[in-house]
Amino acid sequence: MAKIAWACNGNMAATAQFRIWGKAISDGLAAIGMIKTADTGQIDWTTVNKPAATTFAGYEVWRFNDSLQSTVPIFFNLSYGCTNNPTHPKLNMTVGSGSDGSGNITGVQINTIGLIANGTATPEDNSSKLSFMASDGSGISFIHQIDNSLSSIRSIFIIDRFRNVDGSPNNNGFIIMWKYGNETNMWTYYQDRKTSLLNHGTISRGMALMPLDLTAGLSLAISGTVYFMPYNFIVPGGSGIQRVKMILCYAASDFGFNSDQMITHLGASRKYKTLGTNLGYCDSRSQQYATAALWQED
Amino acid sequence: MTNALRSFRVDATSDVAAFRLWGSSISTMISDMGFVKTSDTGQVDWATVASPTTWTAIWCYEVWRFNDSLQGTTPIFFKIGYGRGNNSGTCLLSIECGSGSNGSGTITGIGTGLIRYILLGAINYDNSNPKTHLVSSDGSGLFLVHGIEAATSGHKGAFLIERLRNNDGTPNSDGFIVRSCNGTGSDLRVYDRINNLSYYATGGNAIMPFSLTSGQSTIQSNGQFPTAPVHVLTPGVSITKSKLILCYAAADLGLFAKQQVYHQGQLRTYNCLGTYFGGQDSAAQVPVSFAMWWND
Repeated sequence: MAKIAWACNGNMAATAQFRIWGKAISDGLAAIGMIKTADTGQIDWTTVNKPAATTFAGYEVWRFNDSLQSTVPIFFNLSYGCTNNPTHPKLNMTVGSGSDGSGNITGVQINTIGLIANGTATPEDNSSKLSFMASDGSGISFIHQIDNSLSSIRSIFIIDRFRNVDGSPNNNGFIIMWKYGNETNMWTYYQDRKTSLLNHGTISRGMALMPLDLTAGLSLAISGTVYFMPYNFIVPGGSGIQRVKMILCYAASDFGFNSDQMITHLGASRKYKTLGTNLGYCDSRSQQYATAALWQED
Repeated sequence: MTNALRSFRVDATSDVAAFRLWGSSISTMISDMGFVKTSDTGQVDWATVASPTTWTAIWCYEVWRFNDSLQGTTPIFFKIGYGRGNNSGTCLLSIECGSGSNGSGTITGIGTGLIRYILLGAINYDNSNPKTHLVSSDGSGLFLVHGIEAATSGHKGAFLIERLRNNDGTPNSDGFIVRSCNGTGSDLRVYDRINNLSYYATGGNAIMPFSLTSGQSTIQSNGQFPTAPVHVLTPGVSITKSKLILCYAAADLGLFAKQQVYHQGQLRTYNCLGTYFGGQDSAAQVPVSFAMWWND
């Protein structure tokens, strides 16, 4: 169980900056306990050059390292590049149940998730941006440059094994969720290993309930207790409600950006990082002021 | 009586007898659930009222009130408006809720002035054949479903008035909710009677945790399927759930199927509305329907 935070320049105008950006993500994954595979052809951060617009400079292949990895393996390929704006980073992911040793994800697959959107012509500024990554071994929470002024670049993604009611992971499957800062969609893919309903249930909205129409100043606190809503899922023919540990939904006015809060979820008090108005549209109604808190540690 | 199912025509103009039958039947359904018609002046007399001659306007009305033990301290009054919709033969049904009435048909207090139109009948349709209408109440809530078989949303609708609940389903004096829907969507307003504030939620307030396609079932490998409670959050007061309505995937159970559901601390019987209602979860998914409380 580990977490890491870093700040780095979001501008990809030079190779040196590109290497710093990508290596920080790579180092983050290693720091939280993910294992880089021995697949050939992976990126070398000491020699790679910044790619041109809309191209990738290379990739890495990672896998989980928990006790369920032997029976329900999760592998993912991260491709590092630039968007249509050559000063903007781009990060693509493919998730599956294996790799072929030369960088290709195999088996059960979720293909080519774009974790950073194409941006505007606006160049990145040269200030450092905050990123956070955490894992309990069976899930990843990643907050990418969440204070970037460009909505297309600040983003989140999680991978999380389905959870039991006490937060422990199970072998029923896993979920992937991601979004960009102001994008009105919150993308969800999940795979149910019990039913073989693979890539089933692509959902463009966050499946968490904010039970009122939210405004900028509307707090959902009750006697000092702030309302956080879990993301739950069900797969037809599956094994009942599946729970998510790595992310919660809440009203942005209740906590601002980068506040660590202890929240009781799945039977325990856990630390989550709130994202305030730096993120939005995270609930089932796609409300601007419905934001997220991502797991940091138990 | 906690529930009723009636069949009658939905017709505002083709003949006065049909209009009187339609309106008086709705009135009787509410009365049968134990609600009390007030003595406000100007209320409709179903024996003598004429057919509506104006379109899209309330032609006549009734004022009702709750009759439970909380009515003395946290009163709920509601006004039902009857009239003619947007087209010949179609009906208008409206509801306005508040905490009092002025004795001459005007709703007063919290909620005043917000009229919800349950039916507006934009186009003509089959008004010669009876339609099924359902109502249920435990005394502290009222849920009425109008014209379940109507093919178009302008001719079927539903409204819910319900006190906020404790975790065991008993009503409390914190406030009440009003929900209206027209067959394809809904909204919900929360009235906080502690602070006299109101809040609004577009669409349903329940999570169907799957992206459903038409006809898709959510039945699990053990034969169970999920029902989604309607959440009610009142800032500074409480988070609770409706007792009288649940949401579920319409393909899991068809119209009028009675299903026992463990909700708010006990098994309760719900009457399913199948594919005849849709869009009732917070993401307004078409295949998500209502199950209405039928009895405990």
